[in-house]
Amino acid sequence: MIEQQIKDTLEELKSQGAEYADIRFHALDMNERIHIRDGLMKNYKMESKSGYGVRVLCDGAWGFFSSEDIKLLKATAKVALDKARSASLFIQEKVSLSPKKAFKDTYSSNIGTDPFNVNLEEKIELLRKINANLTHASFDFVGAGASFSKRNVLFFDTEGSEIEKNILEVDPSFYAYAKDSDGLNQSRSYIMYQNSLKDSTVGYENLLDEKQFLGHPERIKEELISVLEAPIQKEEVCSLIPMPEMMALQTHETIGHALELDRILGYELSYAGGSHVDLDHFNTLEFGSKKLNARASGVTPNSPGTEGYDDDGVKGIDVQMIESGILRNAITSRQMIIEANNKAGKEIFTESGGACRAQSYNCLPIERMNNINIDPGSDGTLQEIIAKTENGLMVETPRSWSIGSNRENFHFACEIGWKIKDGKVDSVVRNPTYKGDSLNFWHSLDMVGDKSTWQLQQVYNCGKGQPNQIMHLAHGIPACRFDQVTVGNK
Amino acid sequence: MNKIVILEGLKKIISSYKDSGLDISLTYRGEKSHLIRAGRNQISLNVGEEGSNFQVSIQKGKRFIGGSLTASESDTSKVETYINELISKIDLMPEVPHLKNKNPQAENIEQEEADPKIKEFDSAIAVNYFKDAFERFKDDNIEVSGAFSAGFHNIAIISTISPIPSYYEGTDFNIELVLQLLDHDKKELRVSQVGRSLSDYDPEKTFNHLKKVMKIKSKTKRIDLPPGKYDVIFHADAFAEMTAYMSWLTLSGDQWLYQTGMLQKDCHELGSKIFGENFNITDDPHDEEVLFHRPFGLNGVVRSKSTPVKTGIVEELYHSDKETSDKFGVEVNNCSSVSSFKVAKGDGPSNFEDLALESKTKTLYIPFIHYMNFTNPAKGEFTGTSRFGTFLLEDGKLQNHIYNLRINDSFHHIFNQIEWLSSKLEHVNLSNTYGLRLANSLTCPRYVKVSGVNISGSSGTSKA
Repeated sequence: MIEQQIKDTLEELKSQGAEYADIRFHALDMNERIHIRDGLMKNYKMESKSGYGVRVLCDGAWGFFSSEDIKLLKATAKVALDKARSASLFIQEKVSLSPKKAFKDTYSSNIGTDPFNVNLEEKIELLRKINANLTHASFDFVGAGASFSKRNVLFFDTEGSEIEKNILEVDPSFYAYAKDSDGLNQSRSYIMYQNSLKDSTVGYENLLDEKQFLGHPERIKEELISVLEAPIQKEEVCSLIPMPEMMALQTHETIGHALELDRILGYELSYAGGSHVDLDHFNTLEFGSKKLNARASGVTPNSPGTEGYDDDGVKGIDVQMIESGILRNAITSRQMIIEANNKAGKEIFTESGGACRAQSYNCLPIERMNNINIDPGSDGTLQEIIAKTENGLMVETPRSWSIGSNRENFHFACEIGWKIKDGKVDSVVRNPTYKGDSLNFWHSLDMVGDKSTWQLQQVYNCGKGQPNQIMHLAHGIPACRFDQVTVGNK
Repeated sequence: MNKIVILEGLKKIISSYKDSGLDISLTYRGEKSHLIRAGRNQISLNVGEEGSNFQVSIQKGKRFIGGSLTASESDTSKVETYINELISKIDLMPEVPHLKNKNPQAENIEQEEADPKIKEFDSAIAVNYFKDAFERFKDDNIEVSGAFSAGFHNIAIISTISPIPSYYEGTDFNIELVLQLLDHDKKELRVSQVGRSLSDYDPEKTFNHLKKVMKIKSKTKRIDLPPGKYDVIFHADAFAEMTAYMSWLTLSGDQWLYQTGMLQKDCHELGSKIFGENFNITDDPHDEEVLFHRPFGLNGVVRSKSTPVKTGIVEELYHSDKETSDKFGVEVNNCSSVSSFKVAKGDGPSNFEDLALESKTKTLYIPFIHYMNFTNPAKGEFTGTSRFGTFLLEDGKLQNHIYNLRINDSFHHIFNQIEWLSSKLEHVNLSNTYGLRLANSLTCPRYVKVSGVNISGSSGTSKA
C-alpha cells in the first residue's frame, strides 16, 4: 500500500514537470545504545524513528523535503518540487544524471545473530564483563558501550528503481582513563573491527569473537598502564607505522575526503573545504608511491559502507581510485561525474561510483565515502615490516585530528606509540603525534603489508555537508610503513 | 506544531502515569528547517524538513532508562505505547546505587520569540541572496558558495513530578558566504551572519565586508611566514571557536568530575584564577546582548544568570547530566545544550582600520580557524589552521596576506595572554541547525588580540 502511494506520488511529480524524482522511506529505523561505566549503567537509549524524503529534479535543479507523516506524502512532494523550481532561479548548469540501470531488488545485510533478538540482560552483562576486565586500581574510570542499528528502507524513483534495504550495524567499543606520571589524563580505547572474510556475518556474534573484540580488554589495560610511566615522544624524523585505527584515520582524512568529487568541484568550500586535487590531475598526478593502490568500494562484505545500492539507486561497485600511486578516479555520484566531465571538457569519469549517500530520510544524498580501502601489498607481515625498520615509531588509536582545508596537510595525535629500534619494538612512548603534507606523506609509503595484515575498520562518525550528515563507512587497510615522517612535539 | 496541541498532549500522556510510581520526564522537540546551499555559482541544494520528536527519561528507584521517538504532537497513543515499551524493560536495567530521586523541573514557563517570517520561510530569499552575491562579484571572476539556513523550533517539557508543562519557541537564521578568487590562486574569502529574526538579516553588510577583504587579497602580495611566536588579532569567528572548545574542556562539570578536561583537581582549584584578568564569560537567558534566551534546559532545569568565568576565575561549572551529578554528589545546575555564552567586551579597536593602525609591530590577523581539535586535552593543547584571509599587519598598516597557518597552542596560554578585546560584540553561530534544530550562538568581542601565539607551519609549505 505504501509502495503504491509512493509510485503514485512519483507519477504525479513527473506529470507536474519533474525530470527525475525519488522517494526514500525509512519504514523502520531503530538504534539501541548501551553504555556501562565502572560496572554501572551510564546510559541506555532506545531510539525509534520513521519518515521519508522526497528528492525532485526540476528545471535543472534539486529540491528536497522530508516529513515523518506518510499521510502528507503528496504535500511533501509538492514542497520538494517547489523548492526545485525555486533553486532553478540561480543555476549556471542544469543538473543532469548519468545513465544507470534501474533495479528491482532487495539488499540485506548478511546477518548472523540479530542483536535486537538478544536478551537485554545478556548484552548488559557482556559489557559489564568487559568493564571488569579493563579495571585496574590506578585507573580513574573504565567503560564499554555498544550501538546496534537496524533500518528498513524503500527506494523508488521515476526511472523504475524499486529497491528495499534491510541494514544492520554493530558498533561496540571500550575505553579506560588514568592519570600519567605528570598527573595528566591518558586514555586507551578500542573499537571493534568487522570481519570481512568469506562466510562472516554482521551481528552480535562479532562481539563474542576473541580476535575482533572480546580478547582485547586485557591488552588495552596493559597498554594504558605502560603509557602512564612512558617517556614523552620527542620531535624527530623517523619511519612511521600507523596501526589499524590510525591507518584508517590517515586513509579517511587524506585519501577519502580529498577525493570526493563534489569537494574537488568546489561544493564543500563553505564548510568542510576544498581539495588539493584538480580535475586535470586525474591519470597524471602521482598521489603516492608506487606501493599505493586505493579503492572506493561499495561491495566490501559486512561493512557499514556497503548497502547494496547507493541513494541514487546505483548498484555498489568497486572503483580503483589510485593505481600504483597514480590518481585514476574519485568518490562519485551520477550528477557529479557529468558536471566534472563537462568542466574538464573530456570524459574523465565513465560511470557513477555508487557513492551518493544520505545519513537518513531527512537529508539529501551527496558524495560520501563507502569503503575507502587500500590494497594489501607484498611486504609481508607486520612483524616482518617491523624487523626491517631501523628507527621508527608505531602509533595506534586517534586522539585528535586536524586537517588543512584542502586536505593538503594534517596533524594527528595518538593514544599510544611504540619506538622501534633496530628491527624490534623497543619501548612505549606517551603523547605521540605526527604531522605531514598529504602528498609527500603518501609518497613516503615504502612498505605495504600482505593480506594477513588487512583489516576492516568501521567508522561511525564521518561528518560532511550542510546540513551536516554523519555517515557510517569502513576502511580496509593493510599494515603500512612511511619513511621520513616528522613525529612528536618540540 | 501547534502549541496548544503539544501542551495538552504532554499533559494527557503524563497524567496516565501519575500514579505509576515512576518518575517520567518527557521532552517534545519540533522543527521546521530550510537549508539552501550554493556552490560553483549556483544553488546546489534546497532542502527542508518538518518533524517532531519525543524524548523520554524514566526512573524507577535506582533504575533508569531513556529513549526517543518520532511522532506527531497529536499522536499521544503512539508515545504512550513507546513509554510502556520502555517501562517493560526498566526492571532489566541494573541498579545504580548512587542514583538520587528526580528533582522538580521547570514548570509553567512560556517563552515565544519566533519570527513568523522565518516560521513560514520562503526559500526564494536565500536563493536571491546567493544570486545577488554572484551578480555583485561576477566581474571579479569568482565562484560563490555558501549556506543559508533558516527555521523554527519549539521545545516543551513536562514530568510526573512537575506536571505543568513549560514551552519555548524560537526562530533563527544563519548564513555563510564564501568567494573563491579564481584569478588569485583560488584564495577564499568568507563572511557569516546569524540572527533570531529576519530583521537581523543584513545582506549589504556581508557584501561590503567581502568587497573590503577582496581588495586586500587581490592588491597585496601573499607571503609565507616561518614557524614561531606571533602576536595575533583574532576575528570573532576564530575567537568564538577557541572559546567554545575551551569551554567544553573547562566549564563542563562532567569533564571536571571525571578529570577528562584541561583543569586538574590538584593544581586548578575551582574559584582560583585560571585565565587572565580581562577574560569574563556570562550566560544569562535575560541578557538582551545575547541572541537566544532559553529559560529552561532540555534536562528541565530552570536557567538563570550564571558567571562561569569572572576576571579569569572559573566560578561555575555546568552540571547538565543527572547520572554524573548524582555520582559525584552535585546538583544539576544548568543545561550546556541551550547555553548562550557571552565573552565580555573590552575597550580595544572595533573596526579593521583602527586595529591596523594600532599594530605597530608584526601582528597577524586570523579571521577563522578551520578544523580545530585537541592534541592533548589534559594540557588544553589544540591545533587548527587559519582560513579565509590571514593577514600581516605592521607599522600601523596592512602589509601582506599570508598562506593559511597552523596554530599549535594551549587554551591556558591563549586566554591568559589577551592583550585587548574590542569594544563591540558580535554573534557567532555555533549550531548545526538541521535535524532537531537547536539554534546556538556565542557572543564575543569583534576582535581580540593575543600575544605570543605559537604558529607551527603553513599551507605554503604543503604545495607539493
